[in-house]
Amino acid sequence: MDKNGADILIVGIGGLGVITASSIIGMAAVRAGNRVSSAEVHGIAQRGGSVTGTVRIRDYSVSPLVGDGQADIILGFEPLEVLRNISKASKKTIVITDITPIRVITPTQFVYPKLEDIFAEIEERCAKLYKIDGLALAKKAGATIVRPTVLLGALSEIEDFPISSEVILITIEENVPARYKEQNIAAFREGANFIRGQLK
Amino acid sequence: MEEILTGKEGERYFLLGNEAIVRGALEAGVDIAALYPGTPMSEIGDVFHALAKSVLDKGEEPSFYFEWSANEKVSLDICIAASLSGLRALCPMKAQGFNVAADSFLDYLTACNLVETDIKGGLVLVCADDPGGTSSVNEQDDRYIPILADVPMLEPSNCQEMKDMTKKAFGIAEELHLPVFLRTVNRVNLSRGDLLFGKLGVPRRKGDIKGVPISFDRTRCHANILKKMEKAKEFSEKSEYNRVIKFDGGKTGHRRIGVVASSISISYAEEIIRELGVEAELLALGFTNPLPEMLCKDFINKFDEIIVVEELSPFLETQFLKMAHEISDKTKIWGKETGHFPRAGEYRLETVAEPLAKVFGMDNPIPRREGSRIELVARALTNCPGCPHRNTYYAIKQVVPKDAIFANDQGCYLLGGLEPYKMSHAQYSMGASIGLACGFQQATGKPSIAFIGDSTFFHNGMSPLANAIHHKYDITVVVMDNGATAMSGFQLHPGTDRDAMGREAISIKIEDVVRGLGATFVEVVNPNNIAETREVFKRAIAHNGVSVVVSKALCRLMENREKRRKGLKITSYEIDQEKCDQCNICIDIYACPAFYEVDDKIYIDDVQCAGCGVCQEVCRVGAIREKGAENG
Repeated sequence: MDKNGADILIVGIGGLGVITASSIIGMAAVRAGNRVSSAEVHGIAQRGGSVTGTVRIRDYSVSPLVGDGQADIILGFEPLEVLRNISKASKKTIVITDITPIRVITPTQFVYPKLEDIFAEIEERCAKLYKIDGLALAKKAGATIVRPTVLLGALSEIEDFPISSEVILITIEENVPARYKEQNIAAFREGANFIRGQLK
Repeated sequence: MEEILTGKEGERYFLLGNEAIVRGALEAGVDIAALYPGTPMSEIGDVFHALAKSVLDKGEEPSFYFEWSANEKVSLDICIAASLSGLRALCPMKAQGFNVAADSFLDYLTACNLVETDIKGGLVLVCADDPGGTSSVNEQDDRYIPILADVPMLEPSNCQEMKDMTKKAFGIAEELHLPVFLRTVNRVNLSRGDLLFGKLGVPRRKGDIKGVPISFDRTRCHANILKKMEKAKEFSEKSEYNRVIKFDGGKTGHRRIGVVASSISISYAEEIIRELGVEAELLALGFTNPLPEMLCKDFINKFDEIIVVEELSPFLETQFLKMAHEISDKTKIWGKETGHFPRAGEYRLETVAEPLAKVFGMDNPIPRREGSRIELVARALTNCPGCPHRNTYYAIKQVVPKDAIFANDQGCYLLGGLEPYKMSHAQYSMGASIGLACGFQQATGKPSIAFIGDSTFFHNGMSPLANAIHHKYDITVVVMDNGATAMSGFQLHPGTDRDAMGREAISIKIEDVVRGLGATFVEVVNPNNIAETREVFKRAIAHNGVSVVVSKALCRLMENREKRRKGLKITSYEIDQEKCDQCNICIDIYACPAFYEVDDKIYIDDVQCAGCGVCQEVCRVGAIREKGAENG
């Protein structure tokens, strides 16, 4: 990752806002003058299944999928889904993940792994892991529905991230419903402040 | 989304492949678009629908007519008529949708090709294939259709080409007097990318048709099409979409190797060649029927070895093998025939990296990496939390005879075929459930039950139902009416009271259709009331002859979306741990994915719960209560 490019993987489950977040990052990157290629990978259910989004920022046209070990950043909306995609990470990868698990994997008798085991393996396989309580920060910002924006705020503070905070924030403002605009701005700040606090 | 209509020429925008197709059609001045939704191309319709609405909201008239047709054959017939009348028409469909439209597509060519000038308005059929079959019943490779039908084919490899080729296709169709087959793949339909806009076109708006080109001279028709395809070959030779990309990565070997690719594989091949850092040439093919024979043969001649990269069938590869043979057989072709590439499954960068590196004799730039050391079970495919289909299945399961046979259909409800309901012995194509139930009943003599959705019923369910009633089959048909074509994104259908142009439409009631066809047992029930639904099913199954139950409740996602829009609260539920006796019916039998278990205690996930409250009826001990209502 550098000023001209990054491969970002956004992972979660259907209904958490993965696709919306991918789309915002992509739009912001184009607004900043980059070439962008982005994909969404999911199953047939509207809700509850694993969902992956990619955003590849370059100064030339590139394929939309991120290969094994290629992700510069993994933005996780759910911890187990980060681990599910861990083959995309390398020792250069920065992982930001929401800490709230979606334990439901009905109807199989599946036991959700221990959170500390999930975080331990992610940490082993990447350069840096940020664990963020998106739900709590979204509530603080005024609405749980703005949780994806907390993660976008966090993303914007990653060192060398090719798009500026200002451009991402403007893109968010233009693309969220007017009635949630204030909460989204607050959520973005919460996410950004969290990473800044960690970097200190 | 607005920018698809208002975006400026020469500016760069970030769009979904499907959205780019709409922009391309608008730049071509499209007059009519019609489609039945289906992943991976539904958004084409969603965009036309939304644009029509936004223009109408401003008090203006849209420049195009768009409709959600009842099925793909209907949409194609409408587009063919528009084209014959001199208008430009766009007809998108998913690969399996083409099977429904194939009837009209393959037949109309011979009916309309006697007179050179018959097709005045460009007709573009967008066929969206689904390698990997994530959202389809199979991995149908529709590139063979243009060969079968003798029509030109274009294959976009990225978002920019989705727009540009759509626009270009209209012109090609009008010059050749043939429809153009724009074949896309899921990975391009559902990818987003930056693209440069061109100028909006001017629609013709009003068409007309004169003369009646009916002829029974099929041989002459066929010969005429073949003549047009000769001209299409010249187009293909000159097309900017068939081009050689040169890479000067510096690394050279003793062997001269060329790479051939089409569709999304072009972008994978490009990236891997760049990663390998080799000196190589890539023949990127976008106009793929007919192939540019001279260009391909020149390319073959330049190299000792050629690697063909394409998903699914060896469509290009067999044609390259033939061309290489015609030249001298000295060029080796690597591909699926040599076992280097798989025929099944969607390609990823890794799928292409390994064989390319092998043939070039280099290290694999994107080696596969291990997954997690913890065994991760896939999140199960199941209906969403709050889905009324779950309630229908839950109710019928309690009263259905043990030996019953279930025929399922295409829609969200097909997930009832999976654990734990397992109510599908067969399901494959739109509307097949009713014919299947009849066949099972005839073949086995066992009680047979068909499950079909509202949109699927209008799509292809009415003729098999007429057949069942006429022949007095003893089956039960359950129409799962959730008020929309939910699985592909809540699109409208003949049962809804609005059309895609925002006008009032006649809402056709399924129960009226069924009664009109002569069914003697027809009941409508709300599946969110499980006890009542159970009783209706008891009566329906006991009925001798065709019994039809319309199980009617709005899709919970749509209902909640409406509630949020109105600022209404969505109730959330929790489990009273004092009352819960861990019988696990809610998890194991009802199986709503909002429930989860930790240390033998059951909880409701706040984020997942859709607030329907039906689980209160499912729980035997009354342990589920509204959140905050501590005293039950």
